[in-house]
Amino acid sequence: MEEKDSPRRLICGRPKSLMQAKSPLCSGCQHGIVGRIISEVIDELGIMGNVVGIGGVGLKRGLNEEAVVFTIQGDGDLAAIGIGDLINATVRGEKLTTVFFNNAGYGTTGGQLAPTTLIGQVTTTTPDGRRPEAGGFPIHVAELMAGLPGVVYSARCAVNTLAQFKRTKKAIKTAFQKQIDGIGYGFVEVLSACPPLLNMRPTKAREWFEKHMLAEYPLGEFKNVNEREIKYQIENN
Amino acid sequence: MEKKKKVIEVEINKEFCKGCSFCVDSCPKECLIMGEEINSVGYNFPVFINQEDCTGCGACSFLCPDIAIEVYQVV
Ligand code: SF4
Ligand code: SF4
Ligand code: SF4
Repeated sequence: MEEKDSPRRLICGRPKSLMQAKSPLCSGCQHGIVGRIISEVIDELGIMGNVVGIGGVGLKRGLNEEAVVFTIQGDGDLAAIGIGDLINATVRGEKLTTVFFNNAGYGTTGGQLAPTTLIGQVTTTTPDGRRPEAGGFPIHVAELMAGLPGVVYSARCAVNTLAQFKRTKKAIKTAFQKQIDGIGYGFVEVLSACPPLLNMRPTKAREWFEKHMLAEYPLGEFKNVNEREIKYQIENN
Repeated sequence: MEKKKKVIEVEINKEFCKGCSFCVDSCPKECLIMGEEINSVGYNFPVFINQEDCTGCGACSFLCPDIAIEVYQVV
């Protein structure tokens, strides 16, 4: 949106690859920020036009070899019904990037418990809070992914502060770069708070996030390697 | 010679704004406040009130979920 004849320089604004349109998300939904980060990375890597983004459950196969393919998944689809697909994609040795939105519940479909919901967290299906006896335990997907040999990058990030924003951008860029370089599967989990799920105003939801989400889910890089690891190999000669 | 101070302009696209106030919360220099006025869908949007202290750090823009803020340096 930089005007040619204007005596001012744009420091930051909407990335080129992000549509100039109003976001359909709820007020205070940080998924918008992550979408922006992905667009900034696409612009900086110069891969616009050669990138395929897939949302929702399951991973598609048989795409153009050259294309940078990434999937965007929420905790509803990825950590529950989609977890088998995700693990199998890494087992097949796919070179993809997955950006995983973890907001500790099913936001858009009515605020139910998801595998990532915190112990004690109230949802529409756990009105007294999640209890381990009935509802099980929160799943830590970034750590799980780091343990798989097909995965070369795994990190958990957030976008509540400028420093966190910068680390998230670096993580997504690193994961994309590893895919472009043909190294392997990259996984970036981004935590956020969903105000309607929590039944809170955006500012309150952000405070809840700082207090509870970060206590359950540590931020950081869990894996960053430049080669897929073969732990053992039978020699045939 | 005195170093010329950076002049920053922060522009808010009030129609994109959904009134979450994350920009106000994330500005380290208290340059933004939520205004009284509402946009066409009924959200209050922020107002840039303190150009003097604004460093152009971009926090308000980067942390806006609705990509409603642009930061410019006047050259
Ligand atoms: S329901 Fe939650 S996750 Fe879905 S758009 Fe709204 S804030 Fe975002
Ligand atoms: S650019 Fe930084 S200092 Fe200026 S209004 Fe935005 S957050 Fe505040
Ligand atoms: S962060 Fe964006 S959407 Fe939220 S109040 Fe500020 S300008 Fe509006």
